Amino acid sequence: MKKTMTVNISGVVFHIDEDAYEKLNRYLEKIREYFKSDEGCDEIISGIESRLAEMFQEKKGSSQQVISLADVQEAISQLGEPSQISGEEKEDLDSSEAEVSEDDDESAPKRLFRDPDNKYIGGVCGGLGAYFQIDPTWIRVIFLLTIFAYSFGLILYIILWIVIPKARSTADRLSMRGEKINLSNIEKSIKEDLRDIKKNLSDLSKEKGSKKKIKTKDGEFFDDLGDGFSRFFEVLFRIVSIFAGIIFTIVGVSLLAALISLATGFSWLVFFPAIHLPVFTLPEMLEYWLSSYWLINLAMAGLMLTIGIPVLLLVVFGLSLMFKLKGNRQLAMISLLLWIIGIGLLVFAFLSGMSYHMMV
Amino acid sequence: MNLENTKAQMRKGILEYCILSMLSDKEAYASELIRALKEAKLLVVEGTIYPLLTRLKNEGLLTYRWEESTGGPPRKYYLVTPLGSKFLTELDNTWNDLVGSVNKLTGKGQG
Repeated sequence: MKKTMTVNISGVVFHIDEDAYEKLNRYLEKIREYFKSDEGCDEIISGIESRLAEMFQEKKGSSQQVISLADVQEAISQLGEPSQISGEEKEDLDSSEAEVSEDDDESAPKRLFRDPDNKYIGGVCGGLGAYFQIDPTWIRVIFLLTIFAYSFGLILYIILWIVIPKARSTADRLSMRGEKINLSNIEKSIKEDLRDIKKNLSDLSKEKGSKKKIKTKDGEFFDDLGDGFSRFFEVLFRIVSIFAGIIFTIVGVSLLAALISLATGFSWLVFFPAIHLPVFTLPEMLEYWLSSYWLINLAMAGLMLTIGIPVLLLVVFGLSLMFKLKGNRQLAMISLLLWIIGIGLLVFAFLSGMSYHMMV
Repeated sequence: MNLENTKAQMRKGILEYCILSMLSDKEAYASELIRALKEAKLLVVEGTIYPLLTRLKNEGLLTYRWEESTGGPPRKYYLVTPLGSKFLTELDNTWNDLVGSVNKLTGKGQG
């Protein structure tokens, strides 16, 4: 036995099952949303309602029969889903979405992000779901299950939460799903967002208490907590890198100083009278192997480059950690080149020197 | 080329043209138009017609009048306005030109 209601469709009275009424109502609401921005929105709705009244009349005749859920479903499929009716826009979106995700599985690199639009706690599962094209719900299930395995899931989740960046910009969200970052996709993504916002607003105003609302509330709490967490770790990471930077810089500078004193015989130790170290210079050492003056010069040059460049890089790296400098591609290439030249010079000098020795 | 999109675009324009044409012969209400279009296999989803009719009306190509019907909801009978007729003549020419060009280009016509 079902509860029925009496409804007025386009001026005609009908009896309708409760669930059928719900479905019909939702359908009309969806249509209203789609055409909200159109001038003739009300007219379109009234036209559709009139057609609905006609259809139900034809089917039910003048008897006291009731419109059932099946009747409503049939009417909707005849009339068309809102997306089919609204023609252009949504069809564009639907079909271009299909095309895009087929196309771009190969062409656009998919990057792993946390999905801020689809999250319960941190959006980790949402992001993973988007990356692997799996429903994030399943991933959440897996996580929850692994929590029982020595809280492995929990630790893994926290690590992922910290490490995986949040998809902030539209471009981020596109590459999260593996879609090409071009203008039409960005436009499409923004349109979808607008539609979601509209939907949320209308849901809120109708106090429907939809699942999305609850999710947002929980999500906000964890969101703040999570933001707190990740900011804390960001700061921690920063402090650690500064410390590392300082250490690298000091070590690097000391090595450089040592190298210079070995090469030139200049002893920095005059500044530190407390320290006593044997003082010798590299050129003197080299004389054991290489007799000619210019060979020694070559070898020195090679030595300085081979040892000096890495040490210099150490210093630069340390400084960049401390001051958040950006890496420079060209610098790296040049350093590499110089280093190789240094090795080359060394090898050449020693080989020539050695062969000379052999001869003598 | 996005096939579905292109098909939809083609259909939309042609649908409007056909509606105007039918209404210039005689006035009709929504269900009649739907029936004719379905018979000619141009319409699949009935709801599509409503935004189209409304738009044509708002652009001044159509107008309507109410008619009470026995045992049913009142019906909107659509008819073509003078502006609509003019529009229709333009569309007729455009259509003929299009058919000619496309046939020639796709090798379907006789020359």
